Amino acid sequence: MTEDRPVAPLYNRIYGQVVYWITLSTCVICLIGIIISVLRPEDTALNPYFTFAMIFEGVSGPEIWKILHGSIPSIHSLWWNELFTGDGLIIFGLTLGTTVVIWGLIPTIYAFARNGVWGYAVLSLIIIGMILFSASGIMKLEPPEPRRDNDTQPSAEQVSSGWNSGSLTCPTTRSLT
Amino acid sequence: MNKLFKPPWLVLNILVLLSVFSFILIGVAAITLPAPEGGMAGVSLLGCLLGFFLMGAAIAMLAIIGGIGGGVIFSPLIMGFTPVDSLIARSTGLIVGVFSGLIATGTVMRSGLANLKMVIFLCVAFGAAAFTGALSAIWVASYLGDTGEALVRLLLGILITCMVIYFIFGGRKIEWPKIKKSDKITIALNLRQPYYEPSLGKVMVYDLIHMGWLFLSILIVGLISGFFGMGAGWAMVPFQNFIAGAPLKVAAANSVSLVGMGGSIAIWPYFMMGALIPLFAAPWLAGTVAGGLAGSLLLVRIKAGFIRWLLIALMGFSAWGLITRAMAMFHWINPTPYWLDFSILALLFLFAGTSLIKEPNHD
Repeated sequence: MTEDRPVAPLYNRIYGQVVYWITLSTCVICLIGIIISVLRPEDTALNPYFTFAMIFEGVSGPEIWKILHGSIPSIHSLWWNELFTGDGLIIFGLTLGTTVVIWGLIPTIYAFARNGVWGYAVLSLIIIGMILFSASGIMKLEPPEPRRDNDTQPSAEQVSSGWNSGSLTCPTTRSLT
Repeated sequence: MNKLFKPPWLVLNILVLLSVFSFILIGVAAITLPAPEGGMAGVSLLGCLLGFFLMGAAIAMLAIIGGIGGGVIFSPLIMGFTPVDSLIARSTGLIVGVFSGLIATGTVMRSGLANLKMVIFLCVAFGAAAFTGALSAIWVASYLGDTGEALVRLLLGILITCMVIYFIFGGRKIEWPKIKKSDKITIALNLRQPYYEPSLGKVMVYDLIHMGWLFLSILIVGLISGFFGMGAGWAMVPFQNFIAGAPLKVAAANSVSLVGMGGSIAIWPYFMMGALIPLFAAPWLAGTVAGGLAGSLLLVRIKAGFIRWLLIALMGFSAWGLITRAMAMFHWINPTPYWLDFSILALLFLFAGTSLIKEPNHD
């Protein structure tokens, strides 16, 4: 016997729709960001022609930022100030994608409230608060110091004067490119 | 033919076209524009970007069919076989896990298979624990240096080995656990939600038990997920199924939604301290979303048994790479030669292939 399919609750459908479309948008934004990075490498935070080489040399993330950008930037100010550069757009996409739960839960809270499910509205607010707290960087740990016992890690002198590893030589920051 | 021009196929087709167009443009730019002095060749750059995109798509497809998060394949493979810094690998692994979860969330939420109330309740535990796990990972990297790098690889290798053993011997799950009466927490939180089961042609109403224990278990899973930078579907599906008695499909649907929701909290400590490199993460993210969408639409007919053994072989190989690499970093052994790595891979695939053929219902 076949029974009628129950319609998913309104809050389920709203959350699903918002997350689905914003996740797809994030993918498209990241693709555009990659194109801009390759088309205008000198105008992006981390020059792609050096970034991958450093990653596969085992250089840590904070060191890559310091060598290619000059410092570890504030993530939110980077996408806000440099939205139309490759890395700026990618970081905007990543920020949008990793906060999609907030954008999904805001209308969902309304749906919970309309159904009188106040407990879940409060729990949703707690989750939104956790994401905002995490994304605010209030509780931020300092990046690891460069590891001196590994040949691939650049020393402080190398960082300040530019880094040379194997066949790759890269300028210290993009301002010098 | 018409269905290709209707959602959700239409969305997939547009995404594939956009991806193809993007990579043609990137290819033309990378080949024709002069590379900066001392930088990598344009063709190598194109190879990296396209390779990551395609691997991200393949991992997402495997993850969706295998019912696990993408990060559990990504992080061990990258940390086991490349010199990529473990924090970069773990942060990008979280991106792969989170986005394979998010792209699947839309489908399972709209169909009503996932239980949003249960996901929100469990996310309070998972999110807080995953955030703490991510902070611990950065702390370990900051204070233990190379020893920490080796230790993390060794621990992850042991964890993945345990998972491989579990997948081989304990892979059986209960599709519809029989629960007589829901526990007090389930009743108080009104967690039950009926869903339509197409294979039975009827509406299923399920009860849940031991929600307190499940909440505590998810705390531990969250810590591991945030620390090692991988999704947690491998643990959350069996935990919901065994501890709380959630039907297997509901547990899997909740799990992908929970990884997407909780991982969004865990990723930020990595992002803020500079461990996430945008151009490294972007092709993996785009590949994961495109592959996840394609996987959910195209590959539903592939036999689950085949994927299970493929995952066992891949994860076994990752565990080998992680443990030997860690031992080499501790200077206990010399780095393993490539011929030995490939021999192990061939042996694992031979084992997986013969096990698949020997399975009783293999046709």
